[in-house]
Order: sequence, then C-alpha cells, then structure tokens
Amino acid sequence: MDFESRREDIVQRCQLGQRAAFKELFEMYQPRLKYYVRRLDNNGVNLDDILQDVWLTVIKKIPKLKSPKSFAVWLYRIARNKVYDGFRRKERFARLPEDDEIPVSGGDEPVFDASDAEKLHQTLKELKPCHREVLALCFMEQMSYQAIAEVVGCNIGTVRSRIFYAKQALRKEMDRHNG
Amino acid sequence: MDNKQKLWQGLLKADGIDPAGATESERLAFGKMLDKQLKTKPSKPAGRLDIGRILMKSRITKYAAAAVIVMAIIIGIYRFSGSIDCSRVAFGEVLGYIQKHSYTFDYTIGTGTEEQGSAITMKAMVWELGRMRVDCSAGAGVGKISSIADFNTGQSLLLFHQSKAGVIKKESVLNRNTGGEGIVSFCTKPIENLWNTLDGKEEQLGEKKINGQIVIGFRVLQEDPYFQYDITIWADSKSGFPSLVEAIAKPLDKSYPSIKWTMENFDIDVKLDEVMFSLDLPPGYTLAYHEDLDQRQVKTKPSAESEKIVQMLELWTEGRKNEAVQILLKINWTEPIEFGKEPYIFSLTEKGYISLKAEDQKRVSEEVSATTATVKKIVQEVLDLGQTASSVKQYEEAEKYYNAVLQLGKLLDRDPNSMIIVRLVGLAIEKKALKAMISLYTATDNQEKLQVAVKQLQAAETEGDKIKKEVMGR
Repeated sequence: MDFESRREDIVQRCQLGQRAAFKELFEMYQPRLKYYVRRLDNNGVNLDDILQDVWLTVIKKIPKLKSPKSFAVWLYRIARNKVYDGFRRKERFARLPEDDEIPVSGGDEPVFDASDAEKLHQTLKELKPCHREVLALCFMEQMSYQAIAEVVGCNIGTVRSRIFYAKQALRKEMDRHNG
Repeated sequence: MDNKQKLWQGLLKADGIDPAGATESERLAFGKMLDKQLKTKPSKPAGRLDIGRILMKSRITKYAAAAVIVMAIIIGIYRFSGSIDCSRVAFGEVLGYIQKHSYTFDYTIGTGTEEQGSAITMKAMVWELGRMRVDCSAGAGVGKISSIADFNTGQSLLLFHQSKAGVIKKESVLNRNTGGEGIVSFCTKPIENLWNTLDGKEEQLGEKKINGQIVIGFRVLQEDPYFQYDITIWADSKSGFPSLVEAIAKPLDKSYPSIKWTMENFDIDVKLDEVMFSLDLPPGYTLAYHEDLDQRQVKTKPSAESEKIVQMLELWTEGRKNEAVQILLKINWTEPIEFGKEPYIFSLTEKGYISLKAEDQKRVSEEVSATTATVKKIVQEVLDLGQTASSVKQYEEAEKYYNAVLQLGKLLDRDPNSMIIVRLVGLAIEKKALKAMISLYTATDNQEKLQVAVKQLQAAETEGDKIKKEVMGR
C-alpha cells in the first residue's frame, strides 16, 4: 500500500474512532508537524503546547473531515492557525509579508539533493517566515501548489512565486556559505 | 527510498527530530489525550499488557478479546459468589444477598494503578444464582456487547449488538482451556485463585465509612506462582448488604501491571426481565465465528459486466492502467452486475463477514483492503482523465469518465447489507464523481443535470454520515 492509500485508510479508521489508528497517524505526522511548526515559530517556546492543541483538534474534529485525502492540508491548516493564535495572544502577531507575489516567468527552480539536507536546514533559518513555511510544506509533504495554497490561505500564484523565489534564495545562501 | 523522502528525513534529523516517529514523552501525552477524548483506556508503556490496547488492536481481536474478558469476568463473579465460606455471620449475611437474590452491580476490571489505570466498566446482572448477564461497551467499531451465561447448564451466549451477531457456547463456560490466549489466563487465573483462597481465612478489617455508610470489611491475602492477591469485601455493618468488593492481583513478574476488579453500586431485588437472560439468539442476530470461507456458498453467478470489473482490477494490478480504464468505460451499467463468490469486496455482506471464522475474517480484510486501494487508484486516474478532457472543453468525454466513477461508487454502495467499510468507500467515490460533475455542469451551465448531481451529492453525504453514526453507536 502506498503512502497516500495508507494515510487515507488510517484517517478513515480514525473517523470510526479507532484508537490504534490515531496512534498510527500521530507517529506518521508528529515529526513533520513539529518541523513545520518550528519553522513558523522560530522561538519554539510554545511548541509542545501548540502541537498538543493541534492533535486535540484533530481527535475532536476528524470525524467531520469530509475527504480523508485532504487530511494533510487540513492538519497543517490547523497547525498554522494554532501558531497564529499564539502570536495574537502574545501580541506579537504580524502578518507574513506577501511582497513577493511577482509572477514567475518560468525559469528553472533549483533542485535540492538529500545530501543538502543539513545545509538546507541551516539556511532555511535565514529566509523570511513566509518562505520557510511554503518550503517546509513543499519538502515535508511534497504538497502540490494548490494544496499549499489551501494551507497558507493564499492563491496558487502566490505560492508558486514564493516557492520559486524561496528556492532561489535558498540556493544562493547555500552557495554563499559554500564560498 | 527516493530523494524527496531522504531529503525531508535529512531535514528532520538536522533539526534534531527523529523521522521514525514521536518521542516517548510525546506518545504518553498523546495517549492521555486520546484517553480523555475517546473515553477509553489509557495506553501503557511498550511491553506491558494493556487490555484496552488488545481490545482495539483489530476488528478480530477486538471481538475475540472482548468475548474472552467478559466470559472471564462472568466466571470470576460466579466462582467468587458461589464458593465463599459462610462460617462468619457478617460474611454469611453478605453472601446471602449475593447468592439468593436477583441484583445488579457495576463491575470494573482494570490495571491496579490509578495513574496508569486502564479500566473497563460493565453492568452486571444476576437473575438467580448461576444465571448472569454482563453488558459493556467495547468502544467504537465493536459497540455494546452482552454476555449471558447459565452456569447450571454450562451454556453461554455472547452478543455483539452493533453488528447484531452472537456466539453460542454449548460447552461449560467454566472450561478454562477454551481460547488459549494469554489474556485468558491473565484474566481468569487471579479469579480462580480468588475462589480457591476464600476459605474462611479472611481477616476482619473493622468498620469504616463509604459515602457516609458504615461498612464492615474483610480481607484475604493469597499468592500463587504468578500473582499475589489482595481481596477486600465491604458490606453494610448492620444489614450485610454488599457495598464494595475489590480484588487486586499483583503479578510476580513486575513487567506486567496489577489487575484490579471492583464490584460496587449493588442493587438488590431489582426487577429484571428473564428474556435478558435467554440463551437463544435474538431475532435478527447472526451466528458469528463459525463459517468457513472456503465452504461458503453463493447463489449468484458472475455476469458479463461483473467479469469486466474483475478484469479491470487485474489489469490495473498488472500495471496495465490504460487497459483497465478502458474496460471500466466499456461497462454497461444498465445490465445486471452479479458477482460470484469473489471478489469478497462485492460479494460479502457485513453479516456474512461476521459469521466467518476469525482466520477467514483476516483473509477477507486483507483482500478487501487491497482491492479498495486499487479501486481508489483507478478512480483517481479516471477523474484526472475527466478533468483533462474538461480543461480542453471535451465535456461529453469528461462526463463519460465521471459517470464511470459514479457508477463504480454506486456499485460498492448498492447493497445496504454490504460490508460497512466497502459502502463507505463506495460513497466516497460517488461524492468525488458528483463533485467533478457539479463543476462540469456549472461550467457548461447545464442546470438540469446540475440540480440532479447536487441532490445526489447531498444524498450520498447524508448516507455516509448515517453509516458513520451507526458505526460509532450514536
């Protein structure tokens, strides 16, 4: 069974209230969710609280999720909202800048190899939060632009341009670090 | 492992996160959260026996383990109540209530520690000495179960109300060798020991107050090669009316948790309906766990159209995707589509599934799981083809694709007696097809077809919600 089918099966079993399925889902997503949330909230102070909040919402609301296939989008959307709620509570909420919605002209996107992972991770810190976020989703979930757009709540063009420029910025930073 | 997978795993590692899964503390926190939200049993550290986990592990073990636990408890109650030495007056009075009256009480079995305690609470009823019923909920997916036993004849009946299935046992329920699972000895051994040890060696515990009531207590300590037992019985100090019975079995192997039994909230001389203690299968219930899959007979024979569906599945599995899709498009949905014995996804009903022997249920589950995965992939492929056709304004072509998907979904959902999981998959497929159709008819401004599709989508959503609610036992 491939990853998507397995995930869909697990989500369906969660919707039936199967405890074991919830545990499988948790094991499957907790590491990636943690990475994503850390990229949104660099301080990581509330990480555990946020993640617990996310899973609490998942447990409560998963029976109402209409399409098990859209689970990942739904999950990351919940996580994003929780992080933003935390920002608001701390009165340090600032909208992620959307100043890079420049149409992409079709140039080649940089490609990253698995061996780049360590450097990539370090360089991600240098990027703007809105870039970090889309790249995290892109790398973690291999989400389509459409799906990322649904998570971050902007249009697909914005996502496309953010990923394009983020990858370029990332490559540039990595090359700079490499001398 | 492909490059993308290696990449995200590398990123996680660089951030100090184990890509393989959650940390132990996260697991514990999540387990507690699940306990609270699902109102079931807390999880235990790996290596420990967890009754709740065993119950929920799979559909088959859920039924089997639930059955074993309930029977073990009945055995325990009967042996306990029927064998205590009545030499002491206060004890004799307590036993008088237990042995000579009809009554109900709450019965809880769980692990002995409060913070890790996994507990199952049941309602136990005694019609007369030796005739008992225990009702409990085994959670979503299994629902409510009742175990009815007549210890005078040795017969028992186990009912799964959600699936309307029952298991009749003619042999003595006191036969400890039936089942053979570890959980049997785990549940029954301490109870057996409890029965054997209550031979008048009880210690007087004196009086205390429970919920404002003055009660008198008795305690028995015992040990066998596996457990140490600590049993206390509290009863009203004046009437001998039982108030609370607790038994804790501490395993000598410390890697296992303690087990605790609690009987409380006794209600003596309550009016009980004898029908509730009948050992006949109630009307509408199916006999479970007896049928051999290979011996199963079906009346129908495969029709030409159903053979196309089987062929489509085979072609897809062989990687001949285009041919599989073409076969799907050629199916005449107005012709009768009858299946033979296989594939089980199309031929087996929920009751038929329940009636199968446990090992055959596993076989069927695996086949159904694999087939539904294939069907979902085919559906996605055909929907993508429809979308492509629609994007180049080949609307009729797109409609043909969407309709094939819709009909395939309907086929899975056509029989209300089909396996629940199959019906849910069918409904999900129908909804996907109808959503695509709604987009298509909106684009082509075909109001008539649009209205029909919207209504069909609403009906499918309602039906799906109804099934889920039934499964959740709401």
